[in-house]
Amino acid sequence: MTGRRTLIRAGGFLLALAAAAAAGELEDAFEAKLEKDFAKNAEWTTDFDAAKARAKEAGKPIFAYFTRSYSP
Amino acid sequence: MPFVHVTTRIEEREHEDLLFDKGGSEFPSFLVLDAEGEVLARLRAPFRVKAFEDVVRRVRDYLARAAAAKPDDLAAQIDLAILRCDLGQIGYDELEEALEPLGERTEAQEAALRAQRANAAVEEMRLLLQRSREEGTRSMVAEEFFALYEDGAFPSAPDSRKLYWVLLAEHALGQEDADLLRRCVGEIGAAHAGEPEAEALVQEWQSKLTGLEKKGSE
Repeated sequence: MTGRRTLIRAGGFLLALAAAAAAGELEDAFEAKLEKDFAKNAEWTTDFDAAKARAKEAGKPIFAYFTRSYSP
Repeated sequence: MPFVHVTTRIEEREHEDLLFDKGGSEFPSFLVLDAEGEVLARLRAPFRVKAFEDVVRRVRDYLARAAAAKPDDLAAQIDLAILRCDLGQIGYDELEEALEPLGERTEAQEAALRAQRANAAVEEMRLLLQRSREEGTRSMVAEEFFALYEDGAFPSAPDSRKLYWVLLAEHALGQEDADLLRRCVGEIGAAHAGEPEAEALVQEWQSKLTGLEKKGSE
């Protein structure tokens, strides 16, 4: 019984480690995407609520680009 | 206001499904949104400078018309509803619903409505072509397009026009209909105007037309 519990705990720990690693990779992919030229050559914001507030203030529409870490 | 949204499924990041919430599904996507976050226009890849200029012009035109249209001016409301569909704010079904209480339409508005119906049908068929591996799907889609053509429904969206006229050209070639193929070749050229990379495609269809005309004169 103790052996089984230890196995379950170890499994849970490994899953948590894998999830943390995957989250870290996604964060890295996100940051890497924002380092690309297209992101540097314009004054983008990644905050949707801030974009809406600024659009309201400026009386201009939002030009929104939706991309993924792996897409162009 | 430029806003870039990199979706990476990072937990607890806000608005991760924003594109899907706005009715989009493809990456990358460009949307023009108003200050409340509502969709004003959609732009599909490949992104060209001309397409950006065009969408900016059309959004400006829409906003000016929307500001000027009086609620009791039904003709203006019909134009606005069609424009909203054309920009991708609403789908074709929603357009039909919006038009129902607005009364009779002019011939020009009817033609614009048929164009929206054709745009919606072509997009549906595009997805079918992407997903289906069955032999014969392409010719079935070409026949669907021919039915639209006979009904006077010609798409207005740039991408829809390209697919529609090429498949219709395939149909015309199969039917040895030189008149239809002539029109298709002209429309393919017009749909790809200013795209040097499409020259080979246009020339290919031009030579197929020449071949069919030659065959007809023998």
